[in-house]
Amino acid sequence: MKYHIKEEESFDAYCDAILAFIREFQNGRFEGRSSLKTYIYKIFLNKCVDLVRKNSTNKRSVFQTSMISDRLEQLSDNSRSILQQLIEKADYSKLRQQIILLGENCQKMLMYWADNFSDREIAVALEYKSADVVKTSRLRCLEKLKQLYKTG
Amino acid sequence: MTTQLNYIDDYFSGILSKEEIQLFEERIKSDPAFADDVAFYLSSMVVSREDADQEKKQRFKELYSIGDEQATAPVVKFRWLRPAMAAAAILLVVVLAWTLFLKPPSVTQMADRYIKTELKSFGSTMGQVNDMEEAKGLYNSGKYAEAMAKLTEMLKGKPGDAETIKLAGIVSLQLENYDQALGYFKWLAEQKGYFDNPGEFYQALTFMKRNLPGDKLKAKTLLQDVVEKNLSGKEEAQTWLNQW
Repeated sequence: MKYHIKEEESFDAYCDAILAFIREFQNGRFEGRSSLKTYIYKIFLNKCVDLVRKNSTNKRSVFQTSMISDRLEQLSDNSRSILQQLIEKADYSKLRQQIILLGENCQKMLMYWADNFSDREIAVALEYKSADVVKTSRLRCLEKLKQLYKTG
Repeated sequence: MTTQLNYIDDYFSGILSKEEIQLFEERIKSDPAFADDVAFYLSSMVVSREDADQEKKQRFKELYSIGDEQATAPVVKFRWLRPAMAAAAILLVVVLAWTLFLKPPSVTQMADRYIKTELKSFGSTMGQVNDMEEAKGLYNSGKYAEAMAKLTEMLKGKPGDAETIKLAGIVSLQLENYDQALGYFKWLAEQKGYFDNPGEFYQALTFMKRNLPGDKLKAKTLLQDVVEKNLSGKEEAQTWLNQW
């Protein structure tokens, strides 16, 4: 009620908060300084605020780079800001359509990869022969996606 | 398959060396086409991550149902909250159980486990009183700094003693002085006449514990060598490689 968002949207924000917490925990960022309830509640409030901003300005740019903040943190400041600007300009609806064209195998593999599963874990989950085979297949999917995105 | 995406993937997997990382980041600044490719790699990750989250949300929603079919009942705000919290708690427990108990150990965890169990202490020879026994005694008492001081003194007198160097390397590892440990173990590995030489195995262990960019690959190569050449630590090396 405070943020004037619909029930369905607040449910989405709640789901996003749980998923964000799981990711933070897996990356070792939850240090136990506050209780679990307080930590998740804070994430939930931030997700509600993001939702209000997204609804009012239609600006997805900050949202996109926050989705991969763990990867961007690896880079130096200068490289990071160059990439952030390029990432914000990407055509995400086109990328999403092209990923569908890759087929189910590539889609599943890329989802596991984006969700921080290692190649070895993906090999087990998708019953591939080895981590090396997964890596080769995954990069082939990305290469195909790149061709579709640039020419499509 | 392009090597460009492979190169970008290696950067984000953390297997490039320090120098390669620097070159990679310089290239982002100086080569716009390369920066575009890196941005594409990360943008693909964004979309795939959103898709993964959507699937999870869908499964989450399937754990309970939203909406009240009895239209006459008064609408209660956030009536979905209790079942949603229950569903979230179940999902959280499943993921935490996976992370804590079922997920295969990382290389650092494998190294930690080995150091805690196999390098906890060294047996001493009954009745013998000499510098090596004293150094081992200090190590077994957890007095690593004192053990290191003793070993350094011993090496001044006998700089090429393999057993002293081995123990010095292990003490350096316990003190988290990884560069020093690697120096000792590398020297050890190069000693041709040393029977059942553990030098390469201990080098691999140190790289696994340190786990800087590029270390994981170096450790893997050394472990493969240990297995191939049937060196000391072969069994452990094979077990680790199977979990790699």
